[in-house]
Amino acid sequence: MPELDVFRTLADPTRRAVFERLCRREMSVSELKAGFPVSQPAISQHLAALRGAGLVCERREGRFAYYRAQPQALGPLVDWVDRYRVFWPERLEKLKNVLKGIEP
Amino acid sequence: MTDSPDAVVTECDLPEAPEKVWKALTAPELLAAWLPEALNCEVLAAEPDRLLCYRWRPCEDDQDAVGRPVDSVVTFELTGTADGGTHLRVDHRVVAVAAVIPFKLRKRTVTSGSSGPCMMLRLAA
Repeated sequence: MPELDVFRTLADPTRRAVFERLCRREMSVSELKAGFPVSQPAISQHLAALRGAGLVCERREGRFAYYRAQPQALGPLVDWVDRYRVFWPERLEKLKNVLKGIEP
Repeated sequence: MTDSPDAVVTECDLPEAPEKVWKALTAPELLAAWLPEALNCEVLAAEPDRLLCYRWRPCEDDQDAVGRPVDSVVTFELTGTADGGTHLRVDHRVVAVAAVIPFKLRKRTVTSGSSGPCMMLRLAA
C-alpha cells in the first residue's frame, strides 16, 4: 500500500527538485544525478520516496530504469492551495472592517 | 499573487499604520473577529509592527490523502507605506514538521524582503 503523503514528500527541497525535473521528461538515475550535488544512492532514496507518494513512476527496460513524474498525484496539494486562495482574500476583507472599528 | 505549488501569497494595502494592523493581528479580541483560527496558534516568530509567523492549526479539510493533518505556516509581513498606511503580505505555505524544527536552530542569515522557507528560517532564529 503506497503512502500517499504528497505534502511531506515534497517538503524536502532536493526531492522537490527531482520531481520538477521529472515533470519535464523521463530520465534515468544517472541522468538525474548530473544536475544535483548529491550521491546516486541519495537520488535513489528520493526517487523511492517520490514513488511511495505516487508522484513518480518507474519504467524498466532491461537492466535500466527510467523515471517520470505523475503530476496528477499533486491533487491534494492543489485542493489545499485552492481552498486558501479563497480563504485569505475573504479574511483580509474582514480584517479591513476590524481595522476601521479600532479607535485611533 | 506569487504562488508556488504549495503556497498561497495574498497581499493588500491598508490605510491604517503598521502599529494598528499589528494590534488586529495579535489582540485576541480583535483576532477573534476576523481570524479566529489563529487564536492559540504556536507562534514561531514575532517582531512587533513588522512580522508575525505561526504554525497554522489545520482545519478538518487540511488533510493529505491518508487523512493526516497538513502542517502549514502563516507569515504576516507588515511594511509601512509612504502615505502612513500598511502593505500587508500574507504567506501561507505547506511545511513538514521536520522542516520547521531545523529553522529554529539556524541563525539569522537572510536579508529582509526574501520569502519562502528562508524567511521562516530567519524568523524562527
